Amino acid sequence: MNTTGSTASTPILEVSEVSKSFPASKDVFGRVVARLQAVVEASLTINPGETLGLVGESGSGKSTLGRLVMRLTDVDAGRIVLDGDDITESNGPELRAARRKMQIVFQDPQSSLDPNWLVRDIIAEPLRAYGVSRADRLSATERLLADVGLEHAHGSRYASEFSGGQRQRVAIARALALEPNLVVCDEPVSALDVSTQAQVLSLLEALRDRRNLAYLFIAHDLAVVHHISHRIAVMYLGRIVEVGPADDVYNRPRHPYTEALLSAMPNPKPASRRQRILLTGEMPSPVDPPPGCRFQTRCAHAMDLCRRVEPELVAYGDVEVACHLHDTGPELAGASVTEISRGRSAGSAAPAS
Amino acid sequence: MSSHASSAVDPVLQIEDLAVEFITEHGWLTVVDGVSFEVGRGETVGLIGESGCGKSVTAMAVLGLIEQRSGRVSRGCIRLDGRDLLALDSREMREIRGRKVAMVFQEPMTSIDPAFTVGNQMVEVLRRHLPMSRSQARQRSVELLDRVGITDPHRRIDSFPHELSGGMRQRVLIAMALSCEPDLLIADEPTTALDVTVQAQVLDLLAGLQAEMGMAVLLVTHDLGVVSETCERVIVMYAGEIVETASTDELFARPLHPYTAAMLASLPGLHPDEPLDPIPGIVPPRHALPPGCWFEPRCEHAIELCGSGHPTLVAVGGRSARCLRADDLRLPGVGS
Repeated sequence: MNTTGSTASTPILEVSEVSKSFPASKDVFGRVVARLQAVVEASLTINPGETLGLVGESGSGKSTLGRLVMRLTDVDAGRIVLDGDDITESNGPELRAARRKMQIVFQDPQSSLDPNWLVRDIIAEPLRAYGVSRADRLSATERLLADVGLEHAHGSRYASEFSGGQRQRVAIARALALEPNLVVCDEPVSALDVSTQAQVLSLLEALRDRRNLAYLFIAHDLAVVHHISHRIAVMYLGRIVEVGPADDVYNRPRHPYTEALLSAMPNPKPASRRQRILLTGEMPSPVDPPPGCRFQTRCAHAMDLCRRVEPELVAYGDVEVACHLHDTGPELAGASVTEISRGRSAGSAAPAS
Repeated sequence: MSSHASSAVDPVLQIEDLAVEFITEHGWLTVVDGVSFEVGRGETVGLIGESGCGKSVTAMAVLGLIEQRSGRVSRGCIRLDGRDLLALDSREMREIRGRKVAMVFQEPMTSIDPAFTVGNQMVEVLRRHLPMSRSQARQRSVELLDRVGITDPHRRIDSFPHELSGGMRQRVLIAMALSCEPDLLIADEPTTALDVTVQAQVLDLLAGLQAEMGMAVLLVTHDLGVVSETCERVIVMYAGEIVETASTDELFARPLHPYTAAMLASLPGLHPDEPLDPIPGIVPPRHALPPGCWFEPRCEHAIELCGSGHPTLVAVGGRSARCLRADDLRLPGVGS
């Protein structure tokens, strides 16, 4: 999928250069002596009806970015604009109004749904909180149950009686109750078995197309993200290192980290298996990120420059990448980094065009 | 090569007609039913299926851990190097566990004691099973940590588990599991909790160690990609029984059971431009199994006959499938 689901219009979400750090340790006087940089100058744009996939490993900052967008956590710097309104500093009634337009679905429906509530009440709760009348709540709940593929009788049961897939359907119905324009999906299918995962992904796609929903789809599984997203952003140690149309990022990765991530994915199809790039070591601590490029400690292509200067996101056509290989190094200028890896394995250091 | 997809040439593990029951609100329920397969020396066999299919319970039965979980083995035979494990008492089983058969689980934090250093725990395992002095065992532990790719093993051996990352803890667990050079390693979702780049490192490590030590590996997982990349043979379970066995290449290229084919069709990423084809419905609960084939209510290839008699696992040209239509269906795989 590489076409966006939208026409030229106001983006539903514009995130510009947001940063967030958390205190990581304190001295004996309670003063913060080290900070964990969770998100560093991240920018995103999502158009109505569009799905932006946000991928990265644990500690990449992807979930924190989702929480910043939802205003569940305050940003340290940067702006968040929802449907044309700056909500960075909003609170009280303003934030309440904004929350009608954006909702979130979490990974583990077991912990995000109250086990003592009937499913019908869980779904209707946002409507009650926003003063929708009882009669309207009842009819809306019935519609929502049907929309997410649950039966009328399911409404009178407890979420704890449900399977993981059914609970995730309830969580989706609740998120859609206020008819939001944007849904942040934080690892919505990671806890599910493969057949249930496919059911929930198909449901999310159908709802998106029917309601022109925009998704910020956060996941660690690149195959899942590629399947559902129009565009993909890749995060590493708090920074977005690559963003572009889903097929481009998936098939022609520009950043060495994206390439390594793709090659590490276990692939059930032997013929399409990529040459594996085994990264050495693990992600450095976000409390003490390496100087220069954050990926340089594990990058097979790291140059002297990479150890000193942090690369900026540079646009090449539809794709943006933060890597010196593109603006300085062997001058990939937006070409796939796989070209270098192939050139190397063929015994030549020069990248093919 | 094996003559039959569930048997092995030089079997280390032989399971025959295994049935396991657990006590539930519906009384004793059979959760593993009539499972038979073998794992040969130097071979990696994948045991796959979705939550609740019985794959982990099968692994627990081999480790003799069913009684601890208020269950019982109601039928069958489990042999390790020809020795009947079900005939052993709990003391004898403890001797076998860790020495002859070792295990690596999904969450290393729950399998390592947080109160003791890595070294303490490794020395204890070694000395329990092998005649070694404390200093010999410590020396061996350092070598093992080095072998599983832990940098600076002399220092790391005195770390507490919480001081290590998830990937390193899993490496420590592998080092502990392999310390007595077991004949069989049972790895239950060994990389599921890890990030994908770390998972690749750990799978690579396991494959290297296996090639070196020649042990048999039973890999229990729900991840079809991991199975495809690491296993020679695959056993697919559904609702407590085996529904298909085949070599990995055959299984992925041409599945014989509609459940296997349906799982492959649910995988995102194989045909990115096509909509996913999810399996409708859910696995039937154990107390309400359908009368015929247990997959029949969800199967798009079911015919009337599938709803009446329960099919047996039938050998089909070196592999086996539990499906009445295994011979006449041509199910799509994922290409070779």
